[in-house]
Amino acid sequence: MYKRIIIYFTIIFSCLLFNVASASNHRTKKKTRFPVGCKPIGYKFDLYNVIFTPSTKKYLQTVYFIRNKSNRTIQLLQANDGSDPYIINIDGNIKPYRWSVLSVSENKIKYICTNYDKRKNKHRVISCQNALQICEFPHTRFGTNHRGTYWLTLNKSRRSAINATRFHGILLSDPKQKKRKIHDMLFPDPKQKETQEVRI
Amino acid sequence: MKKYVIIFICLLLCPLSIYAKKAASTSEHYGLGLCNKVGYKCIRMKRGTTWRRMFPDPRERDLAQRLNRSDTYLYRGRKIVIPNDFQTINLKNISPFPLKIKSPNEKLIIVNQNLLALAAYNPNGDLVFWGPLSSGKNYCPDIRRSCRTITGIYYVFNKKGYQCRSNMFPIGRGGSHMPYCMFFYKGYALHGSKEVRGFRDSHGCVRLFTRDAKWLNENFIDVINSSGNKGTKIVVQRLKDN
Repeated sequence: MYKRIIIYFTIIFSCLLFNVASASNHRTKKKTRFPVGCKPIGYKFDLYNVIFTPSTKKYLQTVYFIRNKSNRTIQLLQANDGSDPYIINIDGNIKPYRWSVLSVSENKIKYICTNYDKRKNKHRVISCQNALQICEFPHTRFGTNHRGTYWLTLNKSRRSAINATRFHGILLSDPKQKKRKIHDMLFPDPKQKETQEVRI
Repeated sequence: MKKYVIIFICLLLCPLSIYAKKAASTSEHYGLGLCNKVGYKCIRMKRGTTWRRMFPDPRERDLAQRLNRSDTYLYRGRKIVIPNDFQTINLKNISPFPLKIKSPNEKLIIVNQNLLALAAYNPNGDLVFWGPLSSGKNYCPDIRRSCRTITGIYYVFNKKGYQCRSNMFPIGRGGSHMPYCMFFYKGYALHGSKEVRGFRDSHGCVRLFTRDAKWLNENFIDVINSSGNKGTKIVVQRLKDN
């Protein structure tokens, strides 16, 4: 009798343990979701650096959501490769597993990722690809009074970063632009087609 | 017993002295860094001196005010820097910005808070104008928070003439005079002021000499419009100690 009870008890206990372990494992392996409408486009990793090249060409104003996926604070330092006439000088620190939002109105911005090394007491260049997750909202709409290139918000959770961006008065996915795109897909402009054919 | 009293007083005064030192360092006038440089000297003001009495020649007055980044009242004991010979210097000589940069292909204004100066470049990258400024201070007691000027790239979206006034400051009332204001981000603007003091002293706006603001407003700044102009670009650079 006792033996059976002990066997049942060990089975139930082991099941419980397995469940807890799998849940925690799932939590750590859980893939971070980008905000709805945010796509991993408009940037590229070049060696250790990250280069932001907005995908919107007509109205050059876009928003990037950047997440630090490493467990250390990452410092983003703006790199000037000599092609710019001026230094914008907007650096930012992103804490572990936090989101930051960068508003961009330039054709190209290059950042170096660094990490503070406590032992050597200096900053160490690290690969941005291993430290950052980036996505872009391709159909944003800004008011005239807050266009530009600047940090909209730093070190927030995903939800708070979205809320902070909306608080600034920015439409993350402009319905007009979306409609226009769908319309263009359904009813392509015949003139444009002709020009394409000529090019071919 | 006396010893304890003296020690107590010393302890009491120590933090006060540190605070006073900090306050002095934050409000130090810009031009005084040139005191020990060749070609410049510093003089202390006497009672009753004004810019006009000190420099009757308008050209010399303008240069001295730009060097000191200030056109405010010269109180007794205030130190200002002046060049030994006004004939050898001109506006371009004393410019803290390069006279030529790589062509930006559009009009550009650079606001450098470390130099307390602003530069205006034409689309070819030539310096057409520079002038002193006073940007946001570290702490504003009336709003109880930091009021440093925001940094980044912005575009001018609105400008007004001499009658421009603030909706917010003084707190609760508004009505502060901001002649020739040029708004670039929400309520932040470049505007003229009678209080450009040679250190960062504003609520976040960028204060300029009124004559400079007038020139920029009327001759340089373009505002966003429906014909495709997206407004003059303004680059506000970061503070060094930030």
